[in-house]
Amino acid sequence: MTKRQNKVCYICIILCIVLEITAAIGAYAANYYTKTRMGMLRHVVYLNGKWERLVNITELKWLAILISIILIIFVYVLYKKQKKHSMTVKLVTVITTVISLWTVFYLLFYNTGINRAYYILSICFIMITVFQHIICYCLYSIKVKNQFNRRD
Amino acid sequence: MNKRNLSLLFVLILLVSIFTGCSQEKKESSNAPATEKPAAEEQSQKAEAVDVKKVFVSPEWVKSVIDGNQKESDNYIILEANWGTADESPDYNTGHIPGAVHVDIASIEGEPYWNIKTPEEVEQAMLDLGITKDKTVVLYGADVSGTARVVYAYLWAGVENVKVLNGSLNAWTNAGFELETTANAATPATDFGAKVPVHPEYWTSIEDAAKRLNDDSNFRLVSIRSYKEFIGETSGYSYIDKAGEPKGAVWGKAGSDPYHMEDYIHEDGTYITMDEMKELWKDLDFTLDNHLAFYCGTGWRATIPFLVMYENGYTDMSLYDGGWYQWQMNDDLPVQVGDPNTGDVLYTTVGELPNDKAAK
Repeated sequence: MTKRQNKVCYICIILCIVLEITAAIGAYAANYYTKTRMGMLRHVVYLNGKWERLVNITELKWLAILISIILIIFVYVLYKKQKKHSMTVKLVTVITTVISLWTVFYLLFYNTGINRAYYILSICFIMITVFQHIICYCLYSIKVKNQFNRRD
Repeated sequence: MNKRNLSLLFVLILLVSIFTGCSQEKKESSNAPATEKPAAEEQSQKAEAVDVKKVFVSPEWVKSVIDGNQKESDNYIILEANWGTADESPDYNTGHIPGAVHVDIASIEGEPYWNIKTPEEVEQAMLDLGITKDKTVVLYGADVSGTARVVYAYLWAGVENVKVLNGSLNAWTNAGFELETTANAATPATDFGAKVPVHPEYWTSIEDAAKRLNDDSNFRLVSIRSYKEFIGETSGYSYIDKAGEPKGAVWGKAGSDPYHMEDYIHEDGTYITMDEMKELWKDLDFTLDNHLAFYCGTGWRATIPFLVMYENGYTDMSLYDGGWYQWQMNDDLPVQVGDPNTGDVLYTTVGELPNDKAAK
């Protein structure tokens, strides 16, 4: 890995952190305002109905669960491939796994009956999961490169 | 356990806490800011008794109830009506009428059409607040239509004496009466004292509205919506795609948009009187001899003329609760787009309407 590629990884990590925080704020705002503002609740209920008519929600839900599980397996394989891990890598791996598990749990056990903003929150959680995995892979790439450098 | 593992464990716990969320604790009450004017107590003692059918009451009358100077003083509750919890209600947690309890407007209405809930649900919501048919209920709230809707629901259910503080909290503070910030909890009741609803005739279903528009020449479906909504220029709401009115509906005026009721509310926030309403309606396509079924988007604004008429002893009126929201969900129902009085009107069905008329 060249220095330039390494730089790209760092930029990617920063970008993903920003997008992840944005998605998290979006999820919080959607959840909060759906519970506290009548107009927001009604708009969310309207969107739920619109989306249910437009797309097959059940298929999309299982696809998202499948992708999340595959991503968790990827992280696990990456972790196992290396014998030694820095504290940062360990920490990010744990965070990534927890976020992915939470997304799977939320997709499986929640619905619009429990939380009217379920669809919006699901989208936000899936986005957070994907961004977190990108961060994780970028970090692994950087570390692998550094390890090679040390060996050289 | 070494430091690294401990750190990992800590991060894990932190993440679990974040994702499982946390509920908001109820705010503790703080000291009450008092805004008193001289002679306010004296005014409350002078407040005259009002009829049980009187809906809109003065702050002096409400104060005299609190002070024990009215017959209603023995059994009453003051409610601050707002959508959502008390914590989210500025008119409650920044200072409310002493002894007032918060009522969530969502306790009386809900999905799928945002209509009044089932009689059982409304009864339970009232019992939770300790409301029985004999209890005097005084309401006020920041939203004039929302407050009126709760009043309407309680009257429909069978509460005999329901009042609205005319002018809401501003009228109260302007009269020099004090506020408190201590959160109050209601004492639940177990028996309402009548079968809910006592007045089913106050409520018109979509089926009944559609049928009577065709069959009953004395029936008038009165749109309490802005003119732009009435002529189908906009639905008025971000969550309604189609614009128009049920075919045969007549305009009853309202305000500039779904959230303003300038035609029915004075600048000081008080409701118009029957005389003012008669003046407002004098050139419109209905009279007080008709059966008037008021409606709007989802049944908030339309409760205001209902209450004004109720207070003045009229009985031949009702609320078509589903409003335009429920009507436009049925593709086969007939609609009008435009003003029938100008001749510039299109008669069609809901299914033929475009889906681009939601309020931006």
